[in-house]
Amino acid sequence: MTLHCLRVFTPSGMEEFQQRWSNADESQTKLNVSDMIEHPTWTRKITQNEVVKLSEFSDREQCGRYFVELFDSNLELLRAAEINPQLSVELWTWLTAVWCDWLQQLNGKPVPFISGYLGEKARWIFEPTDTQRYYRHLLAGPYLITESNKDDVSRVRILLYNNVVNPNTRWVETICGSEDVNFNKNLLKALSMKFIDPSTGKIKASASEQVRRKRYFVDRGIEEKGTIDRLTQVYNQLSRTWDLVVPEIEQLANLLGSEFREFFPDNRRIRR
Amino acid sequence: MQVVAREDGGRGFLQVLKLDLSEYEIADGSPIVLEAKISRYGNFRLELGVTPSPNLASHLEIPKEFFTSAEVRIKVLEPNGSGKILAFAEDVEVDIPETSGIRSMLPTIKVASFSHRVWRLKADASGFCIELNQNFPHVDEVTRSKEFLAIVIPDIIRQIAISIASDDCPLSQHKVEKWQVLFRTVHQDRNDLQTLEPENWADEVAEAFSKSEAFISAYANSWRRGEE
Repeated sequence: MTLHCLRVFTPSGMEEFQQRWSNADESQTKLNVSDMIEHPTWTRKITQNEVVKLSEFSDREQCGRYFVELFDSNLELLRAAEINPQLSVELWTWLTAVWCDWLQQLNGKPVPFISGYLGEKARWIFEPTDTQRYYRHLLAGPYLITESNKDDVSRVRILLYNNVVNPNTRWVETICGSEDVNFNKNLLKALSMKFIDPSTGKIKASASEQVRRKRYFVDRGIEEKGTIDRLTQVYNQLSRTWDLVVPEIEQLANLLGSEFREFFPDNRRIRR
Repeated sequence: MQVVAREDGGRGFLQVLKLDLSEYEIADGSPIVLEAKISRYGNFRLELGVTPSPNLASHLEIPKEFFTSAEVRIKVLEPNGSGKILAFAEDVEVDIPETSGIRSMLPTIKVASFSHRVWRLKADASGFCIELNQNFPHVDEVTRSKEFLAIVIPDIIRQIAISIASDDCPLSQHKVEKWQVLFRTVHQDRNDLQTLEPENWADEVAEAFSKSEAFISAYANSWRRGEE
C-alpha cells in the first residue's frame, strides 16, 4: 500500500507536468511522472501526515466517495492552504500524478476507445471553468458529482457506475454538460432507479436505446425521439416556462410528455 | 430588485434586499424562488415566501468563491403548485463586496484559484479570459495599479496576439477576425504577419498598443458591449 502526504503542484510543477503530458501525447507513449510526486520544488505539502492512499477504484462512485472523504477529513488544512477542491487545478494535477500509472491502463492494457494514448487533455488536467469539460477529469469528475450529491449518492449512480478510466458515458456527457438537468435531483434519482440494475449497480442493457446518438436516427431517416440528448433539449426549453424542480417526479414526467415515458420508473402515469 | 452578496465568518450569503413586483399582474399567494446556479457545484434555492409580501429576511448560503460565477435568477410561480412560471428574471446582477477582488477589464475576468501567480490568460471558443487569483492578497488593488496597467496589460495583449496568430487558436473565426481588425488598426504602419514570425509580430503589436491611445477607441468600436 502506497501512502503520501497530500500535496499540490507548484507553478513549476504544473509546467513540468504539462510539458511531460504534451511530450507523451505527441509521442503516443506512457506518461511517467512518478518522480514528481514528492519533489521538493515541484510540489507543496498540505498535510504532514500521509493521508493519501493510492488505491484502485472499482468504479467512479468509489473514486468520488474516496475524495469526498479525503477532503472532508482534511478540510481545515486545505482551507489554511487556500486550496479549494472545487477549483484547484494544482491539487487535481498532483492527485492525477499519484494515480497516473493506474489511470493509463484498464486490466493491464491500454485504455480502449480514447483518442490517442492518453485521450483529451481535460481527462488529465482539470478545467474547472469550462462548462463543457470540467466533468471530464478522470478524478475530479466523479468527485464533483459525489460532493454535490453526498446526502444521497445513490441518486447519481447513473453518472457514477462506469469505470474511472473509461471514456465518459453518454449519460455523463449529456447530463453534466447540460444547463440544468445535472442539478435536478429528483430527475437524476428517477434515471438511476430506472436504468441501474440494483443487484449489480451497473447500467441495464435496455438503457442502450436512450443513449443513441443523432447519427443513428439520421442514418435511418427517422425522427430522433426518446433519447437523453432529446430529454435535455426539451428540459432546457421547458425550464423557461416551468419550474422543474418539483417535489413529485410524476409532475415532471407529465410535463416532459410521452416521448420520455421510458425514462421514468412508472411510465403508465404519463398523460401526454 | 437588488440582490447582494456578503461574507460572514468565512461563509458566503446571497440576500434579496429589494423586490418590487407591483407593476406585474400577479395573483396574491404566488410563490417566489431565488436560485443561484453554479456550474459543476449545484443549484441553490431559496423560497422567498409569496406575493405580495415576500420574505426578504431570509438568505441563501453559497460558497463565497462562487459569488461571481453564480447565475442568479428569480422566479414567481403559479399559486396552485403547478410549477408554471409567471415571472422570470435571469442573470440578476449581484452586488459583490469589494473584498472579492473582481474588476471588469479587458477582455473578461473570472476568479480562479491557483498558486502564486496573480493572473493568467485563458482562451476558448467564447473568447479570452483573464483569471485573477483571488487567493492573492488585495488582488483588486494590484490590478488597478499603474504597474499592472503598464507591464501586465501589454503582456496580455502580446499573448492574445500570439494566440490569434497561431493555427490552433480556440476562438471562433469571427472573433479572431475582430481581433485582427483591432490589431491592424493599432499597428497599421508596421510589419505584418506576412513578413514577421508570430512572436515578433506580437511584440510589435504590444509595443504599438503601449504607445497608442487609439487602441481604446478601436477596442470600443470593435467590441461593443454585449458582443463578447
